[in-house]
Amino acid sequence: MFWKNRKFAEVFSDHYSIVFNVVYSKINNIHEAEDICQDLFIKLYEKMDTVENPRKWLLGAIRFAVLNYYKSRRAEPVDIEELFQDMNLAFVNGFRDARIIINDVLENECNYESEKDILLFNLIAVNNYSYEEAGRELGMSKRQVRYRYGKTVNRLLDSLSKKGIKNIEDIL
Amino acid sequence: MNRTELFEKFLDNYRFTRPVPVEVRRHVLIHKNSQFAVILKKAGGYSLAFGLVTSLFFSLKKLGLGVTIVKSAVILAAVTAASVAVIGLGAYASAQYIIRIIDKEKISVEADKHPPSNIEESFDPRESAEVAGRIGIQVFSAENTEKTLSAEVTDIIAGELARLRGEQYTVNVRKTGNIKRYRMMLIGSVEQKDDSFIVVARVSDVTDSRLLFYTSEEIQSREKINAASKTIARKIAEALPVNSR
Repeated sequence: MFWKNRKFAEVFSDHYSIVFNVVYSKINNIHEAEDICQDLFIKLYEKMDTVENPRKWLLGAIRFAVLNYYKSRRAEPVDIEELFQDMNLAFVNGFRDARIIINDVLENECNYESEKDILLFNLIAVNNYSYEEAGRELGMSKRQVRYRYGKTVNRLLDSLSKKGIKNIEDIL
Repeated sequence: MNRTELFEKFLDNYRFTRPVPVEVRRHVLIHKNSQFAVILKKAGGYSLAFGLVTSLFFSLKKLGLGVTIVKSAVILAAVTAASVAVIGLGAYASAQYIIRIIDKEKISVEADKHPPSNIEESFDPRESAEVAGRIGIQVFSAENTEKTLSAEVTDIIAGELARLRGEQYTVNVRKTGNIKRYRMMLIGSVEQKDDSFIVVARVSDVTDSRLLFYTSEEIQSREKINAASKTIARKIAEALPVNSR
């Protein structure tokens, strides 16, 4: 029991904020988001022994949790794709191809040194956390956060460069 | 604008960002530990000990310290052991202190219940005129003779001193024990050499061991011991009158 709890506590500590932020961005209600997160993490706890990558499992489970949330509140059918439709699908100003490339680079785990760097990148670059806030979430000092985040950004830029986006200033 | 800022602007332009309001970020950070406890309770994996460990774990993380659950458990165990030791020592020291106070109070109450029969006993010898003039006579030692003889000499000298100086200024320790305080102490010896005896008497001040009087008598036969002992007593009474001190 201790070892299961230990693993779960460490996964929870690292992933709770990311999961909460995704859920909150879909439903825009703190208390409802908390309830959904509780259900998600209880399910994760129950499947802890079989889940290999908790981050991927949680991000997949969020889609269904949010869908169920809307289903229980709306009379008409809910389209999950519409609900989770990324902005790039509606982004028709001529840079759609570039956005697909960027998305591939960001989603590719090889561009990150560790799982923690993915979480760090999401907190800072996606959710707009400060270095200090991200450090508090992941148990790192501000200096460590700055160093690791800087390294990740460089790796992503190198990867973008290999894919043809050599100078981001030009396409800004 | 540095590389990182430029990259963030780039992501923002391509709508990869989902900024979370500051109050929501704060809420998540503050309630993370309590949410964890709620989830673990609902999942049936919660225990008080593990709750304490995770509280420490989340607190250390908030301080930017990347510890594991195992390390948190070790830190908590060490801190608990140290706290128990400190509290235990403190309790032991407090108990000892209280016991000492109770004992002192008991002694004080006992003293109040049973005051000394002679109040003068508690006086400092230097502050009481009666004590200052009193001689305590210790039993004389016997050398090459019977102890009964040295005891007899002691009693004769004590009796004669009581007669000459007054009963209240004489304490025969052999007979009565140290029932009264005295400032002067008479010690002596009775030594037999063939048929003759040597009686030595010394009077000292008990406060500083200073020798106040010394005499010795050589006695040719046992029959003369009584007279010689009284002579010694007279010499002492003359040398150390009651009001001399």
